Amino acid sequence: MQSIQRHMQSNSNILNELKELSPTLAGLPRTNVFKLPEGYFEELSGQILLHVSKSSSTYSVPEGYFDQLSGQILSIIANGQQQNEVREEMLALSSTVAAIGNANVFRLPDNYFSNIEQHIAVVAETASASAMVAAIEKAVTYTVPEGYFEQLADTIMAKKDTTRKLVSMKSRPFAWRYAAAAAITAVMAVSVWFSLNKNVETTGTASASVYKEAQEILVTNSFDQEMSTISDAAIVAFLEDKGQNVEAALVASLTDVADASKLPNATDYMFNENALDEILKTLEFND
Amino acid sequence: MNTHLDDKELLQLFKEEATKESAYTRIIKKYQEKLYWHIRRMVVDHDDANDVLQNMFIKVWKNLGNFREDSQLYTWMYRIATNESLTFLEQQKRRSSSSLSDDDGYLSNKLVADKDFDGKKLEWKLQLAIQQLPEKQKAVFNLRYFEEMPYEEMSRVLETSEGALKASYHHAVKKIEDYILNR
Repeated sequence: MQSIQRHMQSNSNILNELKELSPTLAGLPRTNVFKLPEGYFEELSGQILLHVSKSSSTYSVPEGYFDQLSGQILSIIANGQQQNEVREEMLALSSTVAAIGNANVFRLPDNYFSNIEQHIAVVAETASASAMVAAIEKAVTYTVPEGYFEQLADTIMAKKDTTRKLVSMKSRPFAWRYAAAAAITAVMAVSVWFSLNKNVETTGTASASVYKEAQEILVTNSFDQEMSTISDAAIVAFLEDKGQNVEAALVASLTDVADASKLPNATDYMFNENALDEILKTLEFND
Repeated sequence: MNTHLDDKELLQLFKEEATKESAYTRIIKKYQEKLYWHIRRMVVDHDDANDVLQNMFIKVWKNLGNFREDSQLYTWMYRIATNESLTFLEQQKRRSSSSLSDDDGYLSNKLVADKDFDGKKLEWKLQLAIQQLPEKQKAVFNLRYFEEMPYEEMSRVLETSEGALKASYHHAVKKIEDYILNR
């Protein structure tokens, strides 16, 4: 009761205040012009709860899931019916074959489909630069010795712990010339060194004019040019005549340029006749 | 024994002392042909390719223990094969130019000397044209044209940006076309 009295008193105060401020406004009837949908407040709490439960859900479905669901279910049913029909047909024809099932036994190469895609991309890209190059058949032009790949793993396994660089003796026609050059340089250098520095009389097959010429060649660094004018056979014959190990000379020529510093120089040859052979110890040969 | 082990499984086996050698043999067998052909197209001659391939696999054996598994084994081996081939060619070039007259035509001569060479066939002309390319561009062309390697992988093998590789391939194709049409 006291609360109603307080409320009425408050309303009366507000009306009096408004009359003082604007008698016109205070004279207007106080009616609510806004309308609410019917039953709004009855449904409000339910709608709020639904909204809260939706937003706090821990599960989600892919976009459009429910739109496609019925179609998917129908498709599964149709496929199932089709499979059943095929199975029943096969059972009627042969129960043995039907029992085997229809699992796929074939395998595709790894990455088959991505490789196809890549192949198409490369052909298209090449053709955009040159249709002619893109059209060339990628036939294998090179061949390998028979059985090469079958033996390769074993060959490598046998050599895997080597600390030497593998080099091949075959198929290096120019190497002979270079090899001989290494050995002849030594022979000439030793001879010239003796004749010039030690003033020792030279012996053997070489004449004084040959040594003079050799000196000129060494001084002018024209050794390579001079060498190119001599045939391989003549070089080999010369080396053999001088008692040089031709094979060792060839091997020396096969060392890497990076390892060239390891090759003996002229004075090494002079003081150690096995200098070149020692280089062999740092190499390992393929057949 | 399972013959379809992937690289991760092979690397795991390589880490075990008991299975180290068998795992390595499998790695060789799995990749030997692909790597051989990549090297062969670079160096042309079989004996040279054999040297480079064997030295490359020996390097793999010595360094596989330190291989970081966040990279692909296949890409890593291609990188070694490419670098070994380029180093080999560089050495041949330096050797021939420093001591011999045979310089520019070194690889073309080797190609023509191949017992199967047939200059009338377009595929051999293509190989001759490829030998005219600078070595690194040759690697780009071979990896893309013959091995159909995606640029993303090639970028890891050659340590070059994809954009630069695409441009290099485009120029290589143009040069090859020009060589074939005008020689």
